[in-house]
Amino acid sequence: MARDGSITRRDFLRKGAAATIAAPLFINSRAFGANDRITLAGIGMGGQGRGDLGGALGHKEIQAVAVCDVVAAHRDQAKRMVDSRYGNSDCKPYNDYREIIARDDIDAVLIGTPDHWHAIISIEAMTHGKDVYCEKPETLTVREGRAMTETARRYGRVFSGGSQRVWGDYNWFHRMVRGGRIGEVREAWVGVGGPSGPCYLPAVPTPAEVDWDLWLGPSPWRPYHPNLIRGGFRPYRDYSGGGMTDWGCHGFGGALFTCNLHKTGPVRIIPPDGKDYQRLTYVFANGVRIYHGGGWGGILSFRGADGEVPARDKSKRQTPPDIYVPNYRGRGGIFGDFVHCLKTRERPFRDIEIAHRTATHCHLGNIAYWLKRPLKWDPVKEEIIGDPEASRWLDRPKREPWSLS
Amino acid sequence: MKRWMGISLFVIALATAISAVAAESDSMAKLDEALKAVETFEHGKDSGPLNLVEKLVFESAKDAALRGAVEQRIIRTLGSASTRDGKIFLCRQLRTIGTGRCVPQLENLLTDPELSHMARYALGRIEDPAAAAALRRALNKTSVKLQVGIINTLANRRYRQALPDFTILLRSPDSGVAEGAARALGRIGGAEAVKALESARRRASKTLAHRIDGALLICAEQFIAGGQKSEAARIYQKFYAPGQAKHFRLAGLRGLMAARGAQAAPLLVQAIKGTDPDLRRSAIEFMTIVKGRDATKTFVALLPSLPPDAQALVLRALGARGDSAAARAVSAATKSEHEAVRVAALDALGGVGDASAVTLLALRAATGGDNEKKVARASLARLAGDDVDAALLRSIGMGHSKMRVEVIRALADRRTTQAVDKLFRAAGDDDETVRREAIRALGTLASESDLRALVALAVRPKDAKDRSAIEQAIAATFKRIEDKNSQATPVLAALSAAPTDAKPMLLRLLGRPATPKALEAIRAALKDANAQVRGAAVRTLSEWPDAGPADDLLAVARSSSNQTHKVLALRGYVRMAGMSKDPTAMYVRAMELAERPDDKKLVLGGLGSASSAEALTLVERYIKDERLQTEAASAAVQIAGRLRQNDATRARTAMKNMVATVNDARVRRQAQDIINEMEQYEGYILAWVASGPYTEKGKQGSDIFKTVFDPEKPGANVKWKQLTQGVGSWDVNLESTFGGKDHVAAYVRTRIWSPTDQDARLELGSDDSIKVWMNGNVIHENNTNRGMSPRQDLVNARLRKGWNDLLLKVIDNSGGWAFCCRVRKPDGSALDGLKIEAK
Repeated sequence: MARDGSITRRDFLRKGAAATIAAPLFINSRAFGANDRITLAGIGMGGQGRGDLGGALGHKEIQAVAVCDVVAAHRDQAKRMVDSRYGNSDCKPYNDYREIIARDDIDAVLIGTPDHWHAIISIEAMTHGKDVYCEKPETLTVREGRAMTETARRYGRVFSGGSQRVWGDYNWFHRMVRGGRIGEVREAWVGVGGPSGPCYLPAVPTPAEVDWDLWLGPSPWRPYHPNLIRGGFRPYRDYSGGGMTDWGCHGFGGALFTCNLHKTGPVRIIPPDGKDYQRLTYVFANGVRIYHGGGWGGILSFRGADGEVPARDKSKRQTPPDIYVPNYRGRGGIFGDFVHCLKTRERPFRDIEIAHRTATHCHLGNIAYWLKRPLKWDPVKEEIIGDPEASRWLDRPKREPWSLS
Repeated sequence: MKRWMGISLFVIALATAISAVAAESDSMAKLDEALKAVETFEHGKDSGPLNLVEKLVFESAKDAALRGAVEQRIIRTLGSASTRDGKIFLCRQLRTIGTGRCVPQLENLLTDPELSHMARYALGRIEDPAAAAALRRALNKTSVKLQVGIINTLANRRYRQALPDFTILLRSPDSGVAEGAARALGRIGGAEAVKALESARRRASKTLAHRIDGALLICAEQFIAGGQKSEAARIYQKFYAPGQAKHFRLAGLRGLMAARGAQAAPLLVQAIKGTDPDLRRSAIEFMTIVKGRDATKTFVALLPSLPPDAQALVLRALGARGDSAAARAVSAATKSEHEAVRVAALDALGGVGDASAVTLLALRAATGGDNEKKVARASLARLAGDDVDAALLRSIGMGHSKMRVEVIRALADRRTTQAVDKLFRAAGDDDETVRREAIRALGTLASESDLRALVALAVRPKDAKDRSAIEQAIAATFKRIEDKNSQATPVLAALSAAPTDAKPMLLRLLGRPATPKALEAIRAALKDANAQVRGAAVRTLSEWPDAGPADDLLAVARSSSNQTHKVLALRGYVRMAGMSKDPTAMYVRAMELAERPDDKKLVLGGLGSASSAEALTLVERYIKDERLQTEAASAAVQIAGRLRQNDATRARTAMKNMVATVNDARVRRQAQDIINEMEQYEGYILAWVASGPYTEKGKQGSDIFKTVFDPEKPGANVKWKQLTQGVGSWDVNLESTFGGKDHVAAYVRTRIWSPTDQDARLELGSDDSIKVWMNGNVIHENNTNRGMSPRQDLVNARLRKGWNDLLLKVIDNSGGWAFCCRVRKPDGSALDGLKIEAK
């Protein structure tokens, strides 16, 4: 530790690269004892889910065998995608994900549902011996993330979250900052959208092709509205944390990884008060501060002891040093990393622990925004300190019959 | 504004003012009005009342009296509400602020198929034990579907008192209830729960057995957390047995590692050597769970028997364990014939190695393949141990140059400041690559005390070609020295005695701290006999961070015989004009000196950032010059776009002239756009200085309106700033400058020049309240709550000949915060000849 308590680059290199089994940029994907093709099912096949499925179909190790969605049009489109890829009609469409979980011949699931379903489906899949690739935001509440992590560890499952940007889009920042270009990092700014809120959309008759009760699942009952099944669920608290968790899982994920804070959490979260705190501010034990909004670099900006990235003067922008930063293994981006880890049983780049920590960071920001008061957080015990009413927001009782595990 | 905005004001005021006795206040009746709307709320109706109630609920948690009053009203409304949507909303609010007081009301809803979940939504998170007791009471009063929900909520609360209930429900004919009970027993844990689960499993269906197994694993984890490891091991042993499903076997194996520690290491070895591919690979992942050197030795012994890919995985696991007992074997593996194994070993060595690994890693960083190099460097940088730095320092002068380069790089990466002396020596090495790496490292490690030596190195380097790298190292070191004089002093001290070829570099360096003494030295260098030194001085001055050397540059531009110096100086001078408070005079002088069309274009480009009528006049002179017309016209349009805020008449005349005479269609269109906009928004004042935000804790907007802040006090010291954000074509959004705040005031001020004494009319709009002073006298006040639109308030005013002071106070209650203001004749027609100036 540096004298002021911040993490030095050397500390990072000492702790960061050694802290996981990870590291292998270079190991061959073809691990010993690898089985035949990996059978995959896609659950939640709206626009994002089908996009992810399309990427998965590009991996020769993957054999997609089933798709699932509560909207008939979505699952039909997904089935056509899969059948077209393999030139047959073998892909089986489902309305209820539980039928997929019950199949013994499926190795892994790809989850592209809205956020309120991620935890339940992931945990059910893992307790049935399946590995999971789950779109971000991987969780809707803090407690869900911890339960997902415990389940993955308990059953030795591989879980990869789906933020492809943390490394894919932001590695320039990682290499600049971890490569020492700005000295010890002190502050980061993350430009993403704000928190979600209540949903009062009017009631609309439910079309026959939508299983609305199953779409709602664990969330409080409300009448159907078409926006919600067309990707318009993000502004609403029952289904999403809003921009704070949507792009937040990318942006905050990038900032946390760059600052080597992706395996811990803040100790204080302060909403803007118009005086000392103009922006939502996260304070970490080592003194680093991460702000929501502001900055000058688009989604990410960093300030360190010796400078800033990106440079404000575009003509002075630098090339990052050619250093080793643990990242994806295998071939083909974040899904390739997942496929590699299915074979080696290593933890993927966006392992559930990392995904959970990032999502927790976003959720805590939302709670501070909603309640308009500062929070103290114990990142080891994962508890809000001294504010039981705020702690209520760490979890939400689910509609029957749904539960975690 | 809207009805609910009014109530919002009240609610917020309530949140700050309420005390224990306020519950019966008149204001509370308005909260009841909002809750009245909630009673019949259905999705799609006005959600304003709901938003207000929720806002108050969120903010009341820390005010016991307010919280109690609000909770009481929500409980009451829950009893009288007639719609499902309204009741769901109220349950949500009780989830946020509910206490034991709301439990009876919520308990009544647990048996309601439409509201049972929302009752649990609140009861599940209310800390009062009465909440859990109510849930337990309802367990056997509901349909099986609702029963499952109640079981789940009690399980999440780990409500041990319900253990007997769950034990019974485990045998329920309804599979959902039985599985829920199994989950709940797992969450509660303990010997009694395990006994119940194991007993039920004997007769369980396949799906229930699966749930019971999951619950038993969770019980085992709780045993480990509580120190009852043998109890846990007994459970795990069963699951590790052959014939169990693969993931349960893994759970068993992993659990045995946690329960038995190093004693279980041979089990892992057995699994890794076994025939089950999933078990083999996962067992390697589990290696990090078992602690201790004996276990490490057991895993190390395994290495030679494994295929290369497995070796790589085991090596990484050994690295993650961080036990030095593996160092020797890991070092040996760095010599493997397989690259993947070598890379994994080099990576692991960073976790388990010590000083003895320095040479190996440095050598591999110097000579290995690309992947090996990168990983070896990272490992070298993170090697732990007090003696690692010492070993690196010893190695700095040893071995071939590539290896020495890697050692120097590692010292920089490790921030080993003790290396500085040796790095200075290496910066004079015969080998160029060693010298350059040492200089780069000095840029990372040197401190203020090393600056003099670094400058000396720059003055007399081993090779003059090193100077550029040394200059960069000094610039990097400057960043770690806060005091500008401390940056400049060693450079100034070296300047006079420095050889001529070093002086340009020293002059460039002086441009960074840019202290007065540095400026003095560079001025002196303008007269140096050597052309290169003079050139460096001109270049440095032209890039000076402030306008201090403007006159020096002007002199060079006027009198230098060197054309390059003249151009450089002129460019620098034009740049500085942009920083000046009175740029027009500087642009005039620059234009006088500009000889070539390119120089004139440069000046015209700079003039575009000015905003005075004089600048506009200067630019207009070049409109007729065809070579410069486009640049001149473009600058004129830019200037007029700003000048219109202060002198609309002059700006409009210029733009009309532009439309009539300029060839470039794009510029003509821009000029016409300005004319159109001015006509549309004629007379609106957009030039203001502002001060704020002003607020007082606990006061709402209507009180802030009455509060006398400094800008209203004659002679008070007030900080004013130019209003540049949120200035539209006719309106000003104050949130852009002061942020989205509630119950705050801002003051804005401007001056109006009138050619004569005359009557006028101010046409005002504001969100929300507004108060107006003309020449120090209050001429209008409107304490209101509204959204802004033009001409909401029409106020007669007397303008005296010359300058008149106009001061507005604009208060935001909640929501938007904006105003607009224009000056017209008393009959509303245009009032020409006015000038506006905001200072």
